[in-house]
Amino acid sequence: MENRFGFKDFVLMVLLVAILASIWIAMKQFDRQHETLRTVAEEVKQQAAAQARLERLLAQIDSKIEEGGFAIGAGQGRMPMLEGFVDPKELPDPFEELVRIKAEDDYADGDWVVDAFSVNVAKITPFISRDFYGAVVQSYVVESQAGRDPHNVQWSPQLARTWKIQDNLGDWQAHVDARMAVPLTEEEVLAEAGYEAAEKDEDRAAYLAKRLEEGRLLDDVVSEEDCPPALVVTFNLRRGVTFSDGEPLTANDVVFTYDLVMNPEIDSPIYRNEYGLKFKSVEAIDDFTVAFSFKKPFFDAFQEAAAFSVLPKHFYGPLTPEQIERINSLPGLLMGSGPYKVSYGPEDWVPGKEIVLERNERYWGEPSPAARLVFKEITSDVARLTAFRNGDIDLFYRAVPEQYIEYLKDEELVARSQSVEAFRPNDGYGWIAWNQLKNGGPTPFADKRVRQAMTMLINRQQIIDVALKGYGLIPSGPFNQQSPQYNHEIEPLPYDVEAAKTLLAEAGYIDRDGDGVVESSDGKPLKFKHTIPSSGNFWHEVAPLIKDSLAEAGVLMEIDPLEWSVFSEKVRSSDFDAISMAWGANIETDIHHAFHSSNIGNGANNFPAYANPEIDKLIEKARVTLDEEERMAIWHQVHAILNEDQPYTFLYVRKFLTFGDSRFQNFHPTRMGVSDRSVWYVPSGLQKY
Amino acid sequence: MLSYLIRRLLLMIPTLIGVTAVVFFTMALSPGGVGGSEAAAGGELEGKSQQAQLEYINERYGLNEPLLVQYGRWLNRVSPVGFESGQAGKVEWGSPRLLKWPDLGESMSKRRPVTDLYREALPVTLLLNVLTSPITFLLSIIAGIQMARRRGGPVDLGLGTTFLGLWSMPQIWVGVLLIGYLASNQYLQWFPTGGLSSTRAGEWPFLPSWIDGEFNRGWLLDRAWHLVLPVICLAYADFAFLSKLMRSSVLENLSADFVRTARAKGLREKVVLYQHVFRNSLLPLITVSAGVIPALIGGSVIIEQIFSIPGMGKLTIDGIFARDRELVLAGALVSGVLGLVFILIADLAYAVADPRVSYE
Amino acid sequence: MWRQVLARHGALVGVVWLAVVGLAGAFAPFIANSHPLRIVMADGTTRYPLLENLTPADVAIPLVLIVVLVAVVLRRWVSSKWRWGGCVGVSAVVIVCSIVFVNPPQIVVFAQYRQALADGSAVSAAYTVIPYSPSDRFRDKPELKHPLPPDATHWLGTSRRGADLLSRMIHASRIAMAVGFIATGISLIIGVIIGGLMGYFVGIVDLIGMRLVEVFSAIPVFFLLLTFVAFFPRNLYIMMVIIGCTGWVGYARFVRAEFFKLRAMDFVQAGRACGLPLWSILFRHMLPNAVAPVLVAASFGVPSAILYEATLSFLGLGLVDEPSWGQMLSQATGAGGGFYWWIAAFPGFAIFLTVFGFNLFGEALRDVVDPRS
Repeated sequence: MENRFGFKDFVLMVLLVAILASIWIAMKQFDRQHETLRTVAEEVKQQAAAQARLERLLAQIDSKIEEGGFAIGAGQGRMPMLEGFVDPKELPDPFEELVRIKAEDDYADGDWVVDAFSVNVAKITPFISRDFYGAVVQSYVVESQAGRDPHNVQWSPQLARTWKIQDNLGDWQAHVDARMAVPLTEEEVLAEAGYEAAEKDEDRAAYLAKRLEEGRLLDDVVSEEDCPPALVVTFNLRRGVTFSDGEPLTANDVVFTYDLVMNPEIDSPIYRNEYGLKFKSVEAIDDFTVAFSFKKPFFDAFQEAAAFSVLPKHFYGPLTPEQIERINSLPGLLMGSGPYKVSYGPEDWVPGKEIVLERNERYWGEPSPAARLVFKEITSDVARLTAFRNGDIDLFYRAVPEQYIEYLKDEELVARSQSVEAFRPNDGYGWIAWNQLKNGGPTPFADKRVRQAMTMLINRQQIIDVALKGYGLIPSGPFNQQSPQYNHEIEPLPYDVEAAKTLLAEAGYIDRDGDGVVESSDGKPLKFKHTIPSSGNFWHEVAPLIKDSLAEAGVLMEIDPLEWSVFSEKVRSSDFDAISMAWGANIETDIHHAFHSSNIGNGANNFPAYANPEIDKLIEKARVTLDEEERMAIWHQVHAILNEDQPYTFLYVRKFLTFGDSRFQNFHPTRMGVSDRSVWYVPSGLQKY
Repeated sequence: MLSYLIRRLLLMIPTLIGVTAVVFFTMALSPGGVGGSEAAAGGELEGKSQQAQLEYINERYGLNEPLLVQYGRWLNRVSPVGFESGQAGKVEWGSPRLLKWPDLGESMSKRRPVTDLYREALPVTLLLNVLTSPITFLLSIIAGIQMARRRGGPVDLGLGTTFLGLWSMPQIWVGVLLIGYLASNQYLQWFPTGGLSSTRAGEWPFLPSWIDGEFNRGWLLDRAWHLVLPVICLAYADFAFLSKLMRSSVLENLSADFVRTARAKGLREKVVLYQHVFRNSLLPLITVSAGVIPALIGGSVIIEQIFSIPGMGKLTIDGIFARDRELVLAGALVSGVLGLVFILIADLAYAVADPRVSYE
Repeated sequence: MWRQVLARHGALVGVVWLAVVGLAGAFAPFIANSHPLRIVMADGTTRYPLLENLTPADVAIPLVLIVVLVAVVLRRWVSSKWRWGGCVGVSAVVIVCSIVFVNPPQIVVFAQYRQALADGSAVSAAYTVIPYSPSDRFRDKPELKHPLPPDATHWLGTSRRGADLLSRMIHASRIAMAVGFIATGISLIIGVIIGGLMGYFVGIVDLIGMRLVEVFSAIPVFFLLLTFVAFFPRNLYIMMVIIGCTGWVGYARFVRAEFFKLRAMDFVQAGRACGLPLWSILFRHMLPNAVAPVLVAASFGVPSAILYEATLSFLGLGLVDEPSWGQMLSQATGAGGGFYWWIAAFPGFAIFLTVFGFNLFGEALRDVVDPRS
């Protein structure tokens, strides 16, 4: 066992050093090649930009000709195709803000915006990706017909130059009425997919009986081939728009995108079903005109059509089985016509890599200032704040109150950053739903007075102060205070223990045996389980507050935290007493899914089984009312009734809290929270990247 | 030797089937079950859309099949010998394959092939453990010998109690304190709070270097800097345990007959210790290491969670919370394979170290 | 044997600390409680809210502990059979009685006494040493910004949700001890039965048993535990059972090895020849001879069960409203990166000391049982 340093060891050492040295040299070599590549790429980019400018110019001439701006020959006026469309001049300029900031003295092009997501993004392929963060990335790469202006929330044209909305309600109604009058025959039911799908004979018989009793359904009638569309939204697309690889965008791409989503093999069942319920067809009238036909009148029909993303046909198609498998499985299949493109190439991003978007030099519109948008993934909250503190990321989007407070405490950090606090119309609300129907029988919460008493017992201001550190509002209904849907005449029910006790007593709940808990007349104590999601801290903080405040009126609440999968199972089967979650919102939110009685049971979203015929009628009416003012009046009525009925206790609306690096100019509050990163710029002296 | 190896490898198969079956059926029979409800939880959607979503997911992952069928399909997919798999893992009885690459399926919650997820996560966990175990073993061998040499003295007693104390310290506590005091901006900010690299380390050179006159610690040093706290947290308890083990093992050997003979020959104490006792004292360490290394992998679940390191443990926890059938089964399979392989390696190493043991 | 163990200083310190934790756990409601022992109302009536609000467990646990202690004290005068028989009998009666007869009000408003004293409807009140219950979150004092660092009112500060930390720690010691002992008990029972059968029957039973043992030792115990706990509802008893069901492998191995040696011994052969029933041979004759090493293993098993509970609670898989050391520890760092040292230091230290105490005791026990090591 001699341990001398022998010849063998020497050779080994030499080998090891040699290997290390060659790795080192190889790395250096690689770096140099990389450098050369970068120079070449830079040149290509500049050429592309020059070409894009030319194309833009050509397109402008093109549309001028079409609008009759140039008098080439005598007697040529407007082209007849634009008849009925909104005059493009009346529509807002989507690049007004960009043009304005580019005129600023300190404006400079370049620099990056580095953001960090708090979750791991699995996919960024449009329609396949299901997470919110995937949608954020897509919004810079893929465009749709029109978008909301963040300042006034009005529609401004994007890919579409102009549009028209054709109302065909008269024909549609006549057809529907005629068809609905025809009774449903047995043969028709036998041909239905639901009948085919049933495996056993008795299931088939039951289905037949059920369907015959239900009769003809509106959804079926409007899906029939010969039913005329209720609405047609037609877009006239811009000329000269190209995808980031230089191929022109035409109406065929819009139609292709619709075909892609509707293909049953594509992994986007939600979109397919939503579009299937609403769209009758998407058709190209000519190369630059596309028409979206709707099966039913629907208040947000324009929004559905306008926000429909357009994907390049030559890149995603043709829809062969292999290509469909590719679309379903590749995580980062993303190409569009937007101001940015994926810097790795349109199919090369993989999860775990940071998402880097670089400016699309072929963009048809006004280019954005930032050369790159970078999205990192930092799942730990603490690490994200540290990264911001160190300047590794430039933006802390949607901070939770605790992080925001921590940020405000750090004076040095506050001095070199800027923040925005705002209530946005598209922020949702947290709630407790009171289950009215459990195991086939009514629960104590079936009584409106009990639900009202619950709301009045819960100190919502305290919840906001403790769990949201004061950054929240108490809503009185399912709409956002910043949305025109909200009825500002309705005040939230007050926190009033005495009034609540009176209401409970009226409903028959008084402490009959002196144990502190109130009982109904047949001696059943008012006790229930409050089911909350066990992940995260928020509901764990809120639930004890509710428990303690209910105890003051003798209502016994047990906290029942469930892990998400069990939680969603309980929700689907309505197997709970009271449950807490939050709904998201839109600028105008459709609440049909949660409050309409047709969505009771079968795992649908009206899981507390709230049924009010009046509400049903009003929601149905609001959904088909296209006139905004008239519709808002109906929503206001809905709001008032929901406040009276309290199917939910509407707990809070969060304040939007964001902070970013101070080098960004034009970082300011808008109706939608904070101005978009695509309009921030960095004066040349402050540029970091 | 070879036949022994083959027998051991074959015996692993029923064990691994047992491991995955226990995990799968516990998951499937527990409230919540294996369902698409998690992946289908669709938010603000109409009932019909939710239904469509659920049906699509059930179809895609074969969740409507009876449990035994689901488990059988999974077994067929991961088994190197079996049949081709069709839609939702359906067994294609017509096309048997003698050797195929095991397929871990697609994760329902992450919507990616599990193999890809493990290809990213496993090296991270192995890196943690591969870094930790040699350090732990080396230090504990040194400490154990020193304690044994000073048997009964104040150093031995002091270290003995200290090590027992170290061994009793909960990892979660040590982790929280390390982050709280050494990595938070309230106290010393010497180390990062978590993760494996700085946010911008990808753009840095590999080795430490000066860029424009400014020192850049480079990717390698940055990674090392991130690993300090997790490795300490993962190592200290096993270090304490192994040191005590080494001490008692050395002591046992020191009182053995062959040591008395060696001493009687007039050999110096150092020679006796390092040439005669040392090798024999390592034997119990080898046996124990078979249990220590799987425990390290289990322990890195906690460490990865505390220091938010994207390793196998974190992946498994995510999978468990999401009731992701494929992820959970893969977690059981991978940790089972690792555990069994380490036990086997330890047994073989024992045979190599102790000539008295043979597996013929 | 016990005398020898306790002669060691380390073991003595450990046992003393464990006794402190055990007593604190058993008598927790009499140490830390928001209900006054006695409150005199303005109308002259006197109430005893603490006694009125005791739960069956609050009554049963200290009584059972007293019964056990009495049984230990009586060992000089009463034979072991009577002592332990009586002990189990009386305990059972106590438990049943407390479940049947103790009916505390289900609704508790902790602030009512403080409010009554403040508004003059109560004249005076006598409290326990720590006048706060573990789930008293001071709803009457919304001006407090929790968590509060240690001060004269809250000796160890308050938790992030606003409860007194010391009170929570005292009540948590009951859960820790219960999980430690009951889970280990379950492991022991499973391990002894499976190990005993394996060691006695050898052959095919042994082969199958060893596969079962291998299944449970191939995956890291913690991984298995995590999987099972996450899948079942949050419940103290389920958690005990799960920890018990995953930790039996070690005991089974020990018992198997011991039985392997014992089955060849004369007294076992004799028992078999006499036609004694199997359970009698296994558990009345063989087991007592194999009990010492198993006991040593069990004394290390209790702290590891406590650690598992703490870790699971730390990861958010534990109990909800009930206090637990691990759950408290997880509250020490916030989403914003704030670090509350007192929430990290004290509960963690309690876990550490308890585990250390058990390990000190276990080590001394091992040295006594097996002086070689």
